[in-house]
Amino acid sequence: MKKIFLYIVLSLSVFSTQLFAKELKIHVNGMVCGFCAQGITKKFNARAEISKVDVNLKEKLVTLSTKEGKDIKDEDIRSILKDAGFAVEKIERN
Amino acid sequence: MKRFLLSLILMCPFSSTAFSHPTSYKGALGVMSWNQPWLSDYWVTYSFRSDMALAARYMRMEMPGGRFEVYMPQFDILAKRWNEKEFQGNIYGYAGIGGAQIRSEKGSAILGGIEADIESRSLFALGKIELMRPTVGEIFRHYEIKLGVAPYEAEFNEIASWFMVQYQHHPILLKKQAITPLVRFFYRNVLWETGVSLDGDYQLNLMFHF
Repeated sequence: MKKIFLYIVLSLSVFSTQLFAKELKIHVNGMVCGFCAQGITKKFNARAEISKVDVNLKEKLVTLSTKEGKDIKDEDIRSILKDAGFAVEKIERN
Repeated sequence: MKRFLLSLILMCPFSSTAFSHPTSYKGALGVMSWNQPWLSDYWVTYSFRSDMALAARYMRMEMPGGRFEVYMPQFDILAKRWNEKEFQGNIYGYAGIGGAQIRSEKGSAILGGIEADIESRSLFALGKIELMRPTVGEIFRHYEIKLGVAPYEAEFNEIASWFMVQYQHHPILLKKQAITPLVRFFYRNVLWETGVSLDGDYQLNLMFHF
């Protein structure tokens, strides 16, 4: 009984982490102009997984917040930024 | 910073015409409008890739022989881009073939151009060469250099401001050359710049992308 209970608790805690929204920080090269970077927010906002996009030109950072239980793959991020005309230096996941 | 300045120096021999973003992000529709008393240039572009676009273009030029108009489809390509931490550099090429008219005389024209630019958050430089060979009227050459400085570094959702100086040279137009100080603003997907040349001629340019 204890084992079953422990198993359920452990499963729930692992499962529950998947339900939380994620925050990803993407370091982007070439992002020096707000007018030129509009495509970034447009492209990411069109994704079902994404709840919020923040662009910080000073830090050269695009911060994505995913919806609960959702995630976006690194290759999708790189593809979207390539289509927007930029290059990804690094992706950090919380 | 050193690399940016060196790139700026290397770019100086180029000169170019027109105010344009030949390509934008994939799927973007761009509308660009350049307006001076002796020259109008309108582009509608669709970037089907981030490095390629199709455009519809119309130009009006005032020449000693009368008004010259050109209308054509155009293919734009981003030949090379440098995405660096502190700056972005680009080389574009474009070419088109279409109709031309001077007074009541109609014909066709072929056009090509190369444009290079480099930009950081506070410095900007652009150079372009454009050549058009029509079957009516004279061969049109247009050279331009544009340099800019931002008085402050605007964040993504702030209004950005720039001070620009533009030199253009087009030997066969009514105005052979002009030096025009400009102020440029952009906010989100709208850009506008305006100024008055040293000879007192207005300029107003607008750009949107969707």
